[in-house]
Amino acid sequence: MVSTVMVANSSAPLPVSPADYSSMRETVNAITLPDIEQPEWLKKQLAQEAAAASATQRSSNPGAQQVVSYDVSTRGAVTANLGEFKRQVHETLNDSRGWARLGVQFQEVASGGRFTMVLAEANQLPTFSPGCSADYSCRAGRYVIINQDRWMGATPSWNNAGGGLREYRHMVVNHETGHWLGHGHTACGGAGQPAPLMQQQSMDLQGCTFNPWPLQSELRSSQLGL
Amino acid sequence: MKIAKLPKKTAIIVAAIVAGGLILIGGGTIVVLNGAKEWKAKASTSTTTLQNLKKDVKMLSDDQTPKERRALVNRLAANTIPINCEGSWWYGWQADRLDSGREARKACTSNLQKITALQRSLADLHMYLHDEEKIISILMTLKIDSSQAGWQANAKQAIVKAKQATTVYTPKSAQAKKVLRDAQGKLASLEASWVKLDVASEKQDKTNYMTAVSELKQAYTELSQIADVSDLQLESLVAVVASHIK
Repeated sequence: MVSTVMVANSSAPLPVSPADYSSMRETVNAITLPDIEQPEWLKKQLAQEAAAASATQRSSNPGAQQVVSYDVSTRGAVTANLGEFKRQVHETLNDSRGWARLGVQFQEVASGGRFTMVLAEANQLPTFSPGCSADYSCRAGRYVIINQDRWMGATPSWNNAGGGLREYRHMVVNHETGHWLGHGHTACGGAGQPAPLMQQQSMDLQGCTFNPWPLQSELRSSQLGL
Repeated sequence: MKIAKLPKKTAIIVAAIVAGGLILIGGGTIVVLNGAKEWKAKASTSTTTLQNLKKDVKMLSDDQTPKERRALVNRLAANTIPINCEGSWWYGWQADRLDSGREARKACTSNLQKITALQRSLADLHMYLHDEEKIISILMTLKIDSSQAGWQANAKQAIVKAKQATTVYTPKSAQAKKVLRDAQGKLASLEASWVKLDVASEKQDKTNYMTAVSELKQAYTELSQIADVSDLQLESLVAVVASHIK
């Protein structure tokens, strides 16, 4: 016979969230493809192509000396246009106003890049590192992680300061890549000045004007020995 | 006035008839009254049982883990509720002849129908959850431990085994069959992508290799769509249960 225990919240509706009953999503989200190491033949081919590209680049841009490969992946439920993400990241990294001024060419590879550019669902950020917040983008080890919410809508402080979305995307990609290149955070140098790229502009401009590109003083990289 | 005195034998017969009549009237009255009480009790019991079942189902709203909640669904779906709305021979006739009996049987029958519908919805939910657990256990084998040497071979082997397991398993729940079909499609995509990668690698074909890597990543990402299908089924089943406890 059915028990007749009185329930205090008997007027509460039934939980209808599938996660209240099932671990299906948790299970399938845990099944991810690790980075596939490039086979030797591919490494050789890519190295040859990179060397050729580097030579071409040097002839057109004498400053370009080093090719830095990166791969792109996603984590969690990504709804943003991945093709657009890849294209804009590549444009930003190789923009003549950006880190390319170090004499570096960034090249996207299918897998096994020196760093991985990740477009991640906001709630996936803390899974990379306890120091990563679901509110912002982050860098954890080899992963340069762009928070999908920020990619799609920048931040209130950025928007309030009149920054455009494409500018924000330049900034966040350059800033997080800057961490991978070996930079820490910096503060605004003075009211009205362009913010250093490595300032946390997503949170507060501190009186600086927004700036998506590295300042001349930031053009160095311990990661690349530059 | 002078009352004629009956012969002794006749007086005994009359007395017996009167006594018998009185016994019949008394007994009949007792039967009618007790029958009415039985019908009232049936209606009341069915009402209480329905209310208690609803309360128990609402316990699914309490704080508990998904595992505990599934166990509760299981328990509720398995409960046998011994209610019938038919009367025994000695009072059943009242539901046809007396208003009180008729009303009581109507209330009992209505409650019984609600109990049956609620239990059926719980059974459907239980059956789905049972099948889904099996599908989850199959999918769990796909989780890759990249710290192990040869993880790629292990991953491919896991896909083949999972595919076999999905063809062997036949869910009872129609909703779970949809989830299984989706899982089978996703497993086929995974397998095809790995094959494409191996072929490209064998031929040292950079373009196809890179395409295959992208497709493989995509195929793993799309596994999350199984959860989308599962969510839809689960939400509809829970909604049916909820509609019966309003």
